[in-house]
Amino acid sequence: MDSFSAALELLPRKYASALEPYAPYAPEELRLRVGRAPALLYEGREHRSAADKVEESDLKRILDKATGASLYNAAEAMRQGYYCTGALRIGICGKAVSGGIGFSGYSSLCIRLAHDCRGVCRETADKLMREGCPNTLIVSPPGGGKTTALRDLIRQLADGGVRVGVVDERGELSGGIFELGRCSDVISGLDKLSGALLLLRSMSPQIVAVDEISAPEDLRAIREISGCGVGILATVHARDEEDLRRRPAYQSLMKSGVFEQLLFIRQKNGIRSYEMRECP
Amino acid sequence: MRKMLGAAAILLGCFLSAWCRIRAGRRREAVLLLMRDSLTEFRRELTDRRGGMRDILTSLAGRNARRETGPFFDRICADMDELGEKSFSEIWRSGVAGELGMLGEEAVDTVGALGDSLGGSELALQCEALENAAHEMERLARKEREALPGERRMSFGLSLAAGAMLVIVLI
Repeated sequence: MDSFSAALELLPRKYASALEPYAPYAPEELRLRVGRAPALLYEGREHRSAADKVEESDLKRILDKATGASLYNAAEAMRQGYYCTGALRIGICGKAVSGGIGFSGYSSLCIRLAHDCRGVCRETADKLMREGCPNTLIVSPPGGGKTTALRDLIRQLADGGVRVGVVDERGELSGGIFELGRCSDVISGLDKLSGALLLLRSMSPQIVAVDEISAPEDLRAIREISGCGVGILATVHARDEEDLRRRPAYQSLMKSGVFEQLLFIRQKNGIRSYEMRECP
Repeated sequence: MRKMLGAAAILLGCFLSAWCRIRAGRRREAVLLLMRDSLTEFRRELTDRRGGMRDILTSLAGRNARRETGPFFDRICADMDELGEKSFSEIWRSGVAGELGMLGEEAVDTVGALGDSLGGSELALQCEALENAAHEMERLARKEREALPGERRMSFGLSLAAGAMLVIVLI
């Protein structure tokens, strides 16, 4: 089942049937906001559907379906503001309680659909393999396709014979449905540092791949891995190099010289381009 | 002779109706206590094992299989397939209304209201709601037990008096 069909399965029938005709556009996100018709993100912008307006009770039904009415088991994910299920990542907005581990009311959901874009990073993967897998940081704004690019890079490298250890903290990279290459070893359900250390001890990877480094613990994980003689593939939120340097958390990381290459993903009219640069 | 038989039948009928009412009270008390135990078990499963809602309900349905609370948990488990179309709260409430009506209005309201807390993001709130509901089941069971002797006397007395009057009027 592709991720769009998986997303439609979560929705009440009245919305699923209204959104089904949009499948050929390969939407990247479904946006459900209380009091508005569901919208789909494709070709670089949001398109409002002709479905009924969303009510708060619909959002509750969708979350109950996604979590099997067990939202209490997703407290850690909720603190990050989203919940992952298979190839879907559900961002939640509403009235947060208990420091963000719960919501007493919902106002909008963003269902992000993971895509398996095979081959988008073939050239980058070839270059990395030629250069001995230097530490590479994938940079783009939110929704820019970092995880998709990382997934493809992992697959290309792992299929090329490189042992890639993947710390898939919330199961987003493999999504339960995506193939990550023949030489990949995936550990999920652990934070980046614990997962990486476990991989280093037990799987002797040549490269460790992690998605979305943002918290101080993630940066610590990167520093720990960098001293272990393995390559690193990671992703980060930023528009460009300037943006990256502006965030205090990343300044020290950039200064430390852990990353040798930066892969920028740019998007214009819904089309993505990839630019590799040496880290200054 | 026929009149005597008729009178005996009327008295027996009144006696039986009183006996059924008493039996229903006893049954309600027993089911309230079963419900209390199930809710306590529910709370334990949530805190100790932190299982998914479906797993917890399946386990409760198994444990209650031969009890009068069994059909309720069976129904909730079966209706979990409707998640998405219905919220868990709607499924829970319709299960309570459909299968636990015998517990009386107060108990139905208490157990039904649990649906608003269960399945949410805050575990502590759910545990508290389950604990409160279990206490309420115990209180209602006690109330039922304490009311039983008086109700027994009144039911038998009223039924037999009504039967006797009917016999006198008819004979």
